[in-house]
Amino acid sequence: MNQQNRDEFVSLIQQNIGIIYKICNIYGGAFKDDLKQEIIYQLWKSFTSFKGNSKFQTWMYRVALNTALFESNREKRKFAELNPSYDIADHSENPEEKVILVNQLYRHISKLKKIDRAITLLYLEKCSYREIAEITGLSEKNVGVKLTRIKEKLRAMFERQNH
Amino acid sequence: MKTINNLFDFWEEGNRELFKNNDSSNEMIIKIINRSSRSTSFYFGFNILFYSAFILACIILVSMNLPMYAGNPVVRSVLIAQMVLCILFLSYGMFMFAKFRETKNYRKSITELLAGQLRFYKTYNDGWMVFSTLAVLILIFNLNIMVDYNNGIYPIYNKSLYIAINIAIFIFIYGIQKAGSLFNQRKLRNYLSDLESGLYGNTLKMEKQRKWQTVAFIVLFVVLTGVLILGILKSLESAN
Repeated sequence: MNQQNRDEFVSLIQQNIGIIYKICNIYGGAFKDDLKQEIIYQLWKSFTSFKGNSKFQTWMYRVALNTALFESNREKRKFAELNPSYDIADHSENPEEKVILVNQLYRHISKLKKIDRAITLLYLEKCSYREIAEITGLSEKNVGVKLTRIKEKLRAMFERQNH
Repeated sequence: MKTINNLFDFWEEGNRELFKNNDSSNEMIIKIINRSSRSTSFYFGFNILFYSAFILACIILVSMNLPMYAGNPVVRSVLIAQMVLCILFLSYGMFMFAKFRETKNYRKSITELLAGQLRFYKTYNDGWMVFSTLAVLILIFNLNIMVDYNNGIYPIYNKSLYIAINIAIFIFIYGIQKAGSLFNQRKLRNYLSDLESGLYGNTLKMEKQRKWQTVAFIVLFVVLTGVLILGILKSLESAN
């Protein structure tokens, strides 16, 4: 790949680096950095195949999630104990509390099955059902059914945590 | 459900705050794309290349032994058959490597990838495990006849024991490879089942079973190693 390709790739990754960090937080456990490197490496390897037919983000979610699912066998969960625990319904305006809430959410998502984690992330990233279906290979209807179940599971986890 | 829908309200902002100190520099990205992969698939690809090198070594040994045993029609026929087999195994290894790379096409959807990988493990990889194990046996045979060369004669005094030892070695090497492959297949099947059926519990159940599988794998390894050592001891005993 030429210099122009490389510059374009680096710029696109920089703009969307948040996607990689989120996926690493969900799948990487104690090996987030290793997973981050592998995802960027696999994205680079697949970059020539990106023809702009789909949105860059959709393509990136697909390659990055597949890498997380198929390349990361090492998964030791390592989450710091969170204290105090905030109620998700509190709607805090404090940025620090938002970080704690997001961390709580990561902790709960990490307890889901690997496939469900991918669907949850895509949902949180405001991907449409159609995009989620495209990335996972499920039907849109099946995505809806799965999301309902996942939400129920997450709600139960938050309830257990707050009682 | 209302509270879960509130996640949207703080997800993006909370993440921004969470990752604000993370490195996203040009240098970091360039450094990563310039390195080589250290993923699990890298090691699997390495396994194929390793056994291919093994088969290549077999071909070299067979071609060295052939002139030495040119006067012995039985050994010569065996060596020619082994040479043909080794060439076929090596071609299969190259074919496998290409097929394996296809299964790592991460541009496909998760479902397509899972189905493709499962097909790969159930078909191509099963054949590869048999062939690579046979290559080990061929290598051992050729090393033996080279070391014990005696004017083009290679006597086997106890044929049944000789066959038993070879079977034990085959079971040992194939068994170890198969155990690893079965675990991979199981993981993929459960992913696929989770995706398609929408049922809960497959992968979670699998994670719990993982510990037991590790124990079973260790037991299998110990038993097979025991069988192998016993076979070698028996052969030494009968040789004396």
